[in-house]
Amino acid sequence: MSNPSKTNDLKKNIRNTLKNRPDGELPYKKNTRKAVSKRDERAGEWQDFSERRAHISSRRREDIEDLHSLHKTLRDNLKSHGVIIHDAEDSDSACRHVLDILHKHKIDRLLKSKTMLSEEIELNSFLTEHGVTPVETDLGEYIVQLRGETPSHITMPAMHLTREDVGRLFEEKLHIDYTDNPEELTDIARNVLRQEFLAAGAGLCGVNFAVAETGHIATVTNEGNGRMVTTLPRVVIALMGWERVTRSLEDLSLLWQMLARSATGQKATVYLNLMRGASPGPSGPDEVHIIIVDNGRKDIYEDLEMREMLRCIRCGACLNVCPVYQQVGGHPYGGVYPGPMGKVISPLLLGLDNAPDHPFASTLCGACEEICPVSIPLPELMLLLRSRKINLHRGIDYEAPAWKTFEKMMSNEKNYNKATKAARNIQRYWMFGNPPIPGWTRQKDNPDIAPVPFRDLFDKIEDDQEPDDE
Amino acid sequence: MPNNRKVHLFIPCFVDQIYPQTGLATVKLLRMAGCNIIYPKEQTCCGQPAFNSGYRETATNLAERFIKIFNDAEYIVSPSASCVSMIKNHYAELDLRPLVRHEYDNIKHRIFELSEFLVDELKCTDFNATFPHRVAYHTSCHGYRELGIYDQPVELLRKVKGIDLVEPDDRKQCCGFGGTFSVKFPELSTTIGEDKVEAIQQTGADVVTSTDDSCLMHLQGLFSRNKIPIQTLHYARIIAGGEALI
Ligand code: SF4
Repeated sequence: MSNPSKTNDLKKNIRNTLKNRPDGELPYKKNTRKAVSKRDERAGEWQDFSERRAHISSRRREDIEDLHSLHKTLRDNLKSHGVIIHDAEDSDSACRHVLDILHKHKIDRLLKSKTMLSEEIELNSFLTEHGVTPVETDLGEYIVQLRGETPSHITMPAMHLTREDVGRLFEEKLHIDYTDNPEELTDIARNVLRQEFLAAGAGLCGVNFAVAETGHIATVTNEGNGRMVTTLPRVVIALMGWERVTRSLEDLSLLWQMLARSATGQKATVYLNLMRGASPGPSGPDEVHIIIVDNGRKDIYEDLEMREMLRCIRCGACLNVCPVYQQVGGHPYGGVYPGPMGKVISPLLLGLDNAPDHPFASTLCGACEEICPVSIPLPELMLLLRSRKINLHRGIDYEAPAWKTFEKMMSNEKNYNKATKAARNIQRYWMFGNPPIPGWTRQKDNPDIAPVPFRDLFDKIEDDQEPDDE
Repeated sequence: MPNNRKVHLFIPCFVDQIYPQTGLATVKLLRMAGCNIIYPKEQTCCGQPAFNSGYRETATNLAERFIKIFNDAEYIVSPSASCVSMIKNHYAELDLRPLVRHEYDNIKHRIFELSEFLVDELKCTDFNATFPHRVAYHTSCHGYRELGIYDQPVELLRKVKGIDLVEPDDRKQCCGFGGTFSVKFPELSTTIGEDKVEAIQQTGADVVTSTDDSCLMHLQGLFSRNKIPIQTLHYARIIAGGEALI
């Protein structure tokens, strides 16, 4: 089974998804709503929630403003702890760094904990092509890997599946008896993965944050696999997005609490893994590498209108609360990042030409901005991208003439009256009910234009009113 | 309730053409509250559809036009939260000419959604209306999230005699309209709307009301296509007209 949609044709993917939705409760609808209500409950526990959110947002804003200098400090500290730093400009060079490290140590199996960045750079397929087997150790990631899919959510990769789906998958792929008991399923996966851990030569983890002042590499997980991936193998590779730097341990603690609450409605995640360099011996790796990946992030930094997007801590809350995501899940978005954050970040990372519909696929309801723990104005950014898209396709834009007409009609009272009168006449003389409006009348009825507009009625009541006013 | 405030009325284009009764109700309420109404006839559209579709030049031209027309207003009042937010919040994101921007800075604090104006500014909440129906209040996203409007219309509606005011579950959930979104992604817009319709049906209401005729237009389209006997009615009409309306 492969992803229903690997293209970025969002309109088509959404249409197909809606057409083929199974009957009954949709897992992504159920799981997102559950996550939101847990998040709301946790947020409610902090009476000063909005002050805390404002504080964290401004701390994170400072992180991003100071990125270049924080990076300098971070590098010095990483180096002093013996961490080997690699810079990757794009996906390809990031993948190559991973491969080179593995080749140097003659390792052909790579244990991975959850990292969206590795999805972004398509590390798994690169490694497979080059003879390395990537093994996902996060349960959700493991499940989607077994299905040959990509994650449908940035924090809950398999949230589009029911436990029955997982049961059937394990039955088929792991040749075991069918069960849909979540605990049994977890145990089964754990047993398979334990063997992998013990045999592994190298582990790769994502980086939620790197702490500039101390050189800590922080990973947040709920399953403990992150810790095993970074402690059992001899060689550990941390894959970090260029913007994932925060100033101090204090800031990390704020971000961590906010991340846990926003993502899963937990007070704290089960594990916060802090890694600081190699620690040869039984308790840690001999070699720690960090690959700092740009892949378009520095361009976002230079793009002052869009820089705010770099604050994103990938909590996934905006996906959960999005009325669009709730209906279609993550796969129709095509790329790696779905939901509201994906509607902004995909066009920025892939180029607007490759994700032209993304910023338009929103009702602009604002639920994403409201829930975002670092106050990213997602609707505003989508609106800006919309106008960039229009400018980009100027000249080949089939909508443009209609908007010119619209402008002409609305720029002058006489034109407005003429046009609305014409519309009224079409409606009056249309023979079969109401005239169809493309995209509207297929599934719902269109509204009637009133026989007399307000502006004419107003004159009448004005006349009636006159004597009393004196 | 005399207050003699001079109020410039902004009746958005689609309200003018499709929901003139909402405009009339607005006039009636403002007059009951003692306001003197000025209705500049040159007004058309605030530019929101163009802005939301990415056509900023068109939106800017219409915004500048709007600002000129309403430049000398003491108060601008409109029965559409979404359009008010366009003017109050999003005009600021446009590339207005410096002089016009200056005028804009002067008017942006003087524009109000009707319930905001009645309740917060004039402290008028009781219009002596009667409406013996179960009414579901639909929270408009732009009203709620961009203008912080929720308490004001609810307070006005609570004063109506005989009304049984209810709210659908997930009251903060979008109805799926989204302006041109509903034309660009029609199936999606409808699917989101259907969930809202179901939530409204579950309240047992026979009327849905809101601060925005645009959400209501979308919902009404779904009700009537699916033969669901629920009527949509802007809250101003309930408060101004009461029983006579249905
Ligand atoms: S945009 Fe905000 S809400 Fe969405 S994933 Fe990023 S931090 Fe979380």
